[in-house]
Amino acid sequence: MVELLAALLLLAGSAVVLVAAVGVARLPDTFLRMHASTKAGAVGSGLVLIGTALAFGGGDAWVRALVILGFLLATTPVAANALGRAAYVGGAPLWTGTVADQLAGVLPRGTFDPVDAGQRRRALQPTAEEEAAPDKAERSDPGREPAPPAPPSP
Amino acid sequence: MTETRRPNPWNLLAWLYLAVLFLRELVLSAWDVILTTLSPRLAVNPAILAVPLDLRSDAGITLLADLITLTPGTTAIHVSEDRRTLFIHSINAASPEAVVAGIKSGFETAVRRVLP
Repeated sequence: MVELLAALLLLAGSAVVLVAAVGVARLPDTFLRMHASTKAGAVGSGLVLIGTALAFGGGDAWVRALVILGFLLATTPVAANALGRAAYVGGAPLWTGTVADQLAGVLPRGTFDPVDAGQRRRALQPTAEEEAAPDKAERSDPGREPAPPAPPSP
Repeated sequence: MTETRRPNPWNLLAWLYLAVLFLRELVLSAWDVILTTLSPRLAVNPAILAVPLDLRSDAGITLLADLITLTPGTTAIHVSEDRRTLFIHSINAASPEAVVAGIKSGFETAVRRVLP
């Protein structure tokens, strides 16, 4: 009976984390994705931890599970808050269907230019010529921003 | 009913009430977010909303912001410099007033019973 309950809790927790992953892929902007991802921590890992404690049984397992849960509940909102604020200040675009932005004008907001970001991404990927002679290609274009450090291994 | 009572950090019953309220909100809104994520048509009405605060202490505001962030569907993003407004992002704010009123009558009222 206890094993069945533990198995159900573990399954439910895993399902919540899976749905969170689907949410990160499907939802249209940073903030909405955060709703999906940060909540995998609170609900998903909560269910998994309680399921684990039930499966192992004994006070030892329960104390550990509850301490882990306590730390998770204390730390994940701080991280989510920092991420959300950084995304807003950094200019992460709000989805076009966003109803209201009452934070507008309160916090400074950078601009996030997808075209610029695209160019930077292309700049990160070495062209065939650069791959052949990475040192030369880097020096050949002095007007550009300094090239990012090369990846550790090709 | 709790508006005039002074906050008492040793009121264990109020802490217990807060915990039960949190668990209830956690389950309800987690289910809500799961349905939203899996629905074929993404029916979201996100918004960044300003919640006027009656809490005055840093501890109280922190606790409220943590509870809001832990509850699926709402995330605290910023507290104004004067500590009078909490800015939250809500996944479903078809009626922004209802979301703000819900937080004020739910979590904030419960927090105000234990922290100033």
